[in-house]
Amino acid sequence: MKHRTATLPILILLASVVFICLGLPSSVAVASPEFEPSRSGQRRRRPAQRRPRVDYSQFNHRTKEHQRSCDSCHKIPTPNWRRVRTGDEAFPDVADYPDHPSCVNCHRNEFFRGASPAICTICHTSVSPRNDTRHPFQNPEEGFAKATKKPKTAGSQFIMNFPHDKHQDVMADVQPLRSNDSGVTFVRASFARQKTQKRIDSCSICHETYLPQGDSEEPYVVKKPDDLPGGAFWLKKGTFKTTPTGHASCFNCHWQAGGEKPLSTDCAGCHKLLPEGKTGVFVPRDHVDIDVKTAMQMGITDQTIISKWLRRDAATFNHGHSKHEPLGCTACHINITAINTLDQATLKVPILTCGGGGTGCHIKPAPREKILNYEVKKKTGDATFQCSKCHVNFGNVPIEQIPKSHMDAVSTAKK
Amino acid sequence: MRPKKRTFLSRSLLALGMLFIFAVAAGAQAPPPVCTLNAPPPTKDDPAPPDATAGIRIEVKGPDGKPLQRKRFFLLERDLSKDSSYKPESAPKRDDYLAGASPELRAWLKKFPCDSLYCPEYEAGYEEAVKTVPEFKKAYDDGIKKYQNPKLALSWITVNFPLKNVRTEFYDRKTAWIEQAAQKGGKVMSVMTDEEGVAYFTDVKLRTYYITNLTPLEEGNLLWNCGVTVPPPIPRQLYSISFTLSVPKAAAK
Repeated sequence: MKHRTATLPILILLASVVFICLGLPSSVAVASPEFEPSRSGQRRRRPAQRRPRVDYSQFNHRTKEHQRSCDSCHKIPTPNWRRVRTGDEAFPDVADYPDHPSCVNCHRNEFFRGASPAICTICHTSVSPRNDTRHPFQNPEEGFAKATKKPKTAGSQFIMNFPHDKHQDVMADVQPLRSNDSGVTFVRASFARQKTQKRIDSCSICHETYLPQGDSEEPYVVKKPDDLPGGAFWLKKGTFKTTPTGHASCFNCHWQAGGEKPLSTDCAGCHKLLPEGKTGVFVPRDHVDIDVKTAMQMGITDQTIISKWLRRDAATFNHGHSKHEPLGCTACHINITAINTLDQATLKVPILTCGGGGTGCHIKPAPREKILNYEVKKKTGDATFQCSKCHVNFGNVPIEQIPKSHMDAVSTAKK
Repeated sequence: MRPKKRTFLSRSLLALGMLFIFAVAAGAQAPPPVCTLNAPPPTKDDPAPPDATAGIRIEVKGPDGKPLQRKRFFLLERDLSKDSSYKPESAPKRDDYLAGASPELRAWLKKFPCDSLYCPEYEAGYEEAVKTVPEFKKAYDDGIKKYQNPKLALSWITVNFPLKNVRTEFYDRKTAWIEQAAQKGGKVMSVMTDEEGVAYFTDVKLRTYYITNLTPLEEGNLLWNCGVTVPPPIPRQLYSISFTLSVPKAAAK
């Protein structure tokens, strides 16, 4: 009797356990978003809402979690700043990738996934505990340019925001103010004629002639072939101006707490994140005045030249030309204050400046017709004519693609 | 004869004295700045299209007739001279931001009149300043300690400069003051004169504006305020109207 009495509760308990075990999955399934009851009462599996597959071998600054303050990952300066530049060239700089702690806090799982974690390849050339060699860092640029093996993510996700107007003001003179309180006189315009004057300017504080002719006897960047047809374009020295690329010209004023804002610790003060898919302010164009192929045919491999050249609308314009140089930068770049390095349109030079502000350097109607008038006239009369004074590829465009600015400059000049 | 001679002599001296007093007074008086229209705007038979834009060229000269370089000028929609809340004499002054500066620093700053320590004229003088001006010497010594590199300590000298008020506070305050005044006047755009004192306002609508430097500059509190009605664009020219902003020679020293 005793034995039977004990068996019954055990059986009831076992039955309860079996019931619970069988019933539990269905209750979880109802709660799960992956399942929902169908009209027929059966349960139907929803299409799986999988998280997008993340490529951990690519680092993207645009990822929301990566948009914390820059110095939360980047050490400023990095310990290697005395090694990447030597002697008098050395200055405290950001010249290396962030260290492991800045990644591992969030990516511990990825760090220990498999024998060769993909995440390691962002910074390291090979994934091995015995080899901690890193890819070259993009700063200093000169070192990065020379590196043969570059990281997969080479190419900046940022664009530089440099406010020319603010820097103009900082450099501005102030004439001593009088201490007297005699007040200020307002005046109105009166009429009189004045002569125009030749101008020079001081943009060269930041922009110098790249590969200047100097005392060199060779006028071309690459020696001109002997069999080049007469009048054919070949790239001359002095065509381009430099643009500051490193931190050397920034940190001497913007360094940490001792400097001016944006401080060197606030990378985003100058480096603006580009939208996904964009590689720079210069919109890639199907048709450019000079292309990489033409540059290569000339034997030009200098990346500074190529990058600047591809942006040009007038590929042949030579800053170092003996008649251009004395004019000064502001003879053509007439509104530096309005330059916004984030807006390509503001960087353009008005074609009317080629007319020497009305004096007629390159824009003047007959009888002593100047080159723009001549080429536009020829082009509009003969579709096969190639404008070659300023252009390489653009000189071949159909008549209807001649820019309005050119037509206006010429048509008005006829008046 | 003698009294006559004495009278003549005393009268001559008196006249010379008066002349001298007038000359001093004339020199001390602020020469009035003027806006000179360089060429009368062309008259066109055809009215300009409503969306037409043109340019304004200005050429700015100081009392000595030389170009006024790197001076900012504003194109405003309104005439600030009629705004009682606009008081140019209340603009920040350099001397008000020299608290704590040594006599040597004050003397050195007077050599190159700039808005901040960052202007090219100052930069060219850092090497000399570290020898003669205590503040620069301290900044240089601090730089040497930090970077162990004399060249770097010199080129980054402003980073370690002990007096921030001298370094940029005047510039910061002045910029803020100007921005406020410009907003009051309905700022359209601003330009800075180049090495020849020339600047262009481009792509401006054909209407009336006021060109002003907003804060008095040069000895004599020079402040231009030129009313300008922009005429239609001129063929082959970036601008349809051109002014010289100057101080009349007769009035200039």
